[in-house]
Amino acid sequence: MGYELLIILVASLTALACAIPGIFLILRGIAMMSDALSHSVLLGIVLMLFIVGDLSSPYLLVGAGLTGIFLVFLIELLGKTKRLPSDAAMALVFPALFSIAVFLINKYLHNVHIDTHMVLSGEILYISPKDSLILFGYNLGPKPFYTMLIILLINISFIGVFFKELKISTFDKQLASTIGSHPMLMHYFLMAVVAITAVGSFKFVGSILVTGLMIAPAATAYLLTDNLFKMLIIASIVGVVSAVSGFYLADFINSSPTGSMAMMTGVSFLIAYIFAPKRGLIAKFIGQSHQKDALARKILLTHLLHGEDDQSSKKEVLSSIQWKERFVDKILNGLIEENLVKSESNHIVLTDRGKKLLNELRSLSPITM
Amino acid sequence: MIEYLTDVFSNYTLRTVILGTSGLGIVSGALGVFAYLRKQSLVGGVVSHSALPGIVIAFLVTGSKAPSVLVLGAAIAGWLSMLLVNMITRTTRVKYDSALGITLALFFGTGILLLIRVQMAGMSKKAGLEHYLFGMAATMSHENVLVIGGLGGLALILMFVFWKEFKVASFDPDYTKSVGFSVHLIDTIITSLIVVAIVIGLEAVGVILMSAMVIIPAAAARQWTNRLSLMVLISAVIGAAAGVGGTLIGDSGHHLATGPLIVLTATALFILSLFFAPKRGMAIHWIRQWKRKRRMMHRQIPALLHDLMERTKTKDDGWTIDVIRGLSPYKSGIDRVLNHLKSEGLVQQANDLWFLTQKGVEYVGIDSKDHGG
Amino acid sequence: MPQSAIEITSLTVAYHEQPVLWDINLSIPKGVIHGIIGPNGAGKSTLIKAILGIVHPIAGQVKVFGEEYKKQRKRVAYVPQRTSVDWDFPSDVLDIVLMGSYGQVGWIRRPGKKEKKMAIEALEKLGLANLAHRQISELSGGQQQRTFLARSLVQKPDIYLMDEPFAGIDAKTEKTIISLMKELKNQGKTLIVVHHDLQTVREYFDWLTLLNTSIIAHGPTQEVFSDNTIEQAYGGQIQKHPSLV
Repeated sequence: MGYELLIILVASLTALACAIPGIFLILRGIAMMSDALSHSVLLGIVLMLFIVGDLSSPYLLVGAGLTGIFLVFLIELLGKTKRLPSDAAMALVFPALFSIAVFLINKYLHNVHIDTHMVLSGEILYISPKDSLILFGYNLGPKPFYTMLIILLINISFIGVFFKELKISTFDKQLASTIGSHPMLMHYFLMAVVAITAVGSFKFVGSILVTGLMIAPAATAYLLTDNLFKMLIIASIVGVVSAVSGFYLADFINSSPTGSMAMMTGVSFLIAYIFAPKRGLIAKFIGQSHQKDALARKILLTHLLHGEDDQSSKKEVLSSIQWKERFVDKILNGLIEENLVKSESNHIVLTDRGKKLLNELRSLSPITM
Repeated sequence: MIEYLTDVFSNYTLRTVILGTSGLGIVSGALGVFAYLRKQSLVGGVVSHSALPGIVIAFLVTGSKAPSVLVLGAAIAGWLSMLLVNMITRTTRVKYDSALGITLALFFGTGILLLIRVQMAGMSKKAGLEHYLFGMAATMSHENVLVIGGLGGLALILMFVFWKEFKVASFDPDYTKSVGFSVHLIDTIITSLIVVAIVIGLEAVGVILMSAMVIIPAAAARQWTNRLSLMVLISAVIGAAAGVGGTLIGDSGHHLATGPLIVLTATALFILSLFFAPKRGMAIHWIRQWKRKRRMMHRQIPALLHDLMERTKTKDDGWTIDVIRGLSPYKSGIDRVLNHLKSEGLVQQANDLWFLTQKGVEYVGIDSKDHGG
Repeated sequence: MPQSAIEITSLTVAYHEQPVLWDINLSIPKGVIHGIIGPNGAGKSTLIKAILGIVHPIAGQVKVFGEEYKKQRKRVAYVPQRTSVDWDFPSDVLDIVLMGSYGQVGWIRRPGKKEKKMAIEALEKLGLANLAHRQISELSGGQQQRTFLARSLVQKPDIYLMDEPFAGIDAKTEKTIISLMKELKNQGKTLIVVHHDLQTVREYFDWLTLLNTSIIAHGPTQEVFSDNTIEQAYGGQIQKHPSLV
């Protein structure tokens, strides 16, 4: 397998593995948990390194996983003391764990091949095709590929098995506990999956890209669809596209691939933020003024009801409704075009069609004044 | 020790560094209180990470690594990141903390991309920009201290000037609007001052960990006092102590980035505060809980023995500790309470059996009258 | 016709194009205790916030004593829902009550002796004098509510806008508050109160608005508070307006 292809494959697998739990993190409003987890796993890696002394040992993953659980536990514990708000508990714990890790690296592991830059940008460039998984004497190909593949499979099966429970506990916690699917249990499962993913990805892509890949593609998908399943698909695609485009960008300008990939996750979001068909800034700007006009027509029509004999002068309308004259003209013209009102010697009069519609409206919203 | 101290104070470089780190600790400690109270603890992380591209771009544009130039770049980038977070949350359904994460990835990713690019081009040795990741207090210069003192001092003065407005807007924003203050303006001022507090500390603490310096001292200070003014003061002192402590530890060894050391010193001070602060401290809380439990047991165990006595109608029966434990809502510490009751003459012990004495019977009678049965 | 305290015309407020208040026309007379009732989500708090200029209407206007709210701000005091703030804020009772003077004092200047005296008077009025230096985190629900009321007294307003002042408090505090309200009314003040307990409506309020996105009924309590109007306000679901045209 070629070097470049290998990196792209590993990065894409990571993007896929991150997108899945990311969706549930952003929907539950705990997105920054990924940031906290991806930083604190470093401590586990470092501590395990002291014990096993080998940077490529799978035990490093175990150690990192344990610190992930430890982090969640510490945050909950601090929250339970009721001495500080929950956001502060999180903002406080992970820098502390991360600091211990960086300090240990600085102090004791200066000679080992682990440096603080790896924390940020991962080792994706140092992945070697020669570092192969060998089973029963067969060379099955590079290890990082398999690590990420396994994590991805874990995540997919997690979603596959608990899709319904996750969905219910995300959107309606009360309903979830009444029908007996334990939302708290789901929370811990989800945190475990996030931790495993963060740990596995961390080594190759570093803490910052884990955060980016978990949150940004999911949030991008959230702007594009309401359907949870579609959201998963879109987030996966966005994640992979960000990773691949980031790789080529870094290659082109000769810089850090992970920094570039993280940036691209943000850029993908910005593109959706501006151009998304329904929720993008542009669509919203246009759509909002449509909706606003529709609402304004309704308001104006209802207002005419208060005038005597279903008619008012424009002046009266202007003084009580407090709109700019130009806007009133625009809305009035719209109503006249639809044959709901007509203008008669400075007065605005409801047409029969307008009266009929208003009566329908009135029956919908009891206005007894 | 004295030798060490005179050494510290005669060492010009170290003196400069300590001046700088204590200064940044004071400013971030004081202003961090408002981030903490407004439930914006995660904001600091986004601002400080997002400052990185600003630093690198400032260097690339001006070719200078003068602290004032880099701090300006950092401040602009940090401030823009806050603007983006606000825009995303205001105009989309994406939640606040997702917006924080996206902004973090976008800005910091860009920062790393640029930083590595600069390193690859071989310009970095000259710039020393990588110190901005984890902090290197030792490289602080006279000019750094001036920047910290100048900008930080200005931020603190503005905090005093707008003290009343910061307080009321942090406590009750709707009310603040109703009496005619622009909460939007107050928010903008507070956010800007927090950005200043963060960027002046980046060289010593680093972009990764500076966020902790606006939260940890504030969280520690909250445990000591219930007054806002004192909280700000204590937080500033803790921030300064963390800055100085981290610097001195870093000075004692090689290859030690100061950021983690400063954060760990602050964390240690937080843990001390959480456990040992008067009134709010966990230690005092546990002691109170334990005392309350013992008081309850002191009343409840004689009552329980009395109850057993009434039911069996015999004066001479005693009960084993297992029986008592089985009937008591408290399962631990029963033997200690029994022994204490014995020393007060309320219960007696024969072999393994415990009895209520006559005095104990009276005690139960008085006690039940006192507490309405 | 005597000038009313608050005059609302054609007021419509929408969140994300969904109307929360629809075509509100309301005139609240001076010197009454005016209740606003309606089911959850009916827009009661929004109505108060729209009067105070905290939320911006998409149509209509609010006049306070015949002028814009901005010009009459000093004659109005807002008592927010007790649960809308974090009571673990590091402050004591006097500190919070003193905030009542902030509007008068304006930007940057600090409250002085005069304001402090006013705050202490307000505390005494609500029986909080001995709690002046009590931490607000240690207050009971009733004490929290009285703290907010004391803060509004410091403003010496002519109109009080209170959002659920009786929610989650003890019976004794409820009595204190209602007798204070009656006293204020006798001084000619106007009190507008969002309320949720239908049992006490007749006893507490002279005037009443039944609200469910639009106004269901409005007028003197004896006239408008009937099974029929209650059914109309609470019976169906909250009114949703169909998108039109």
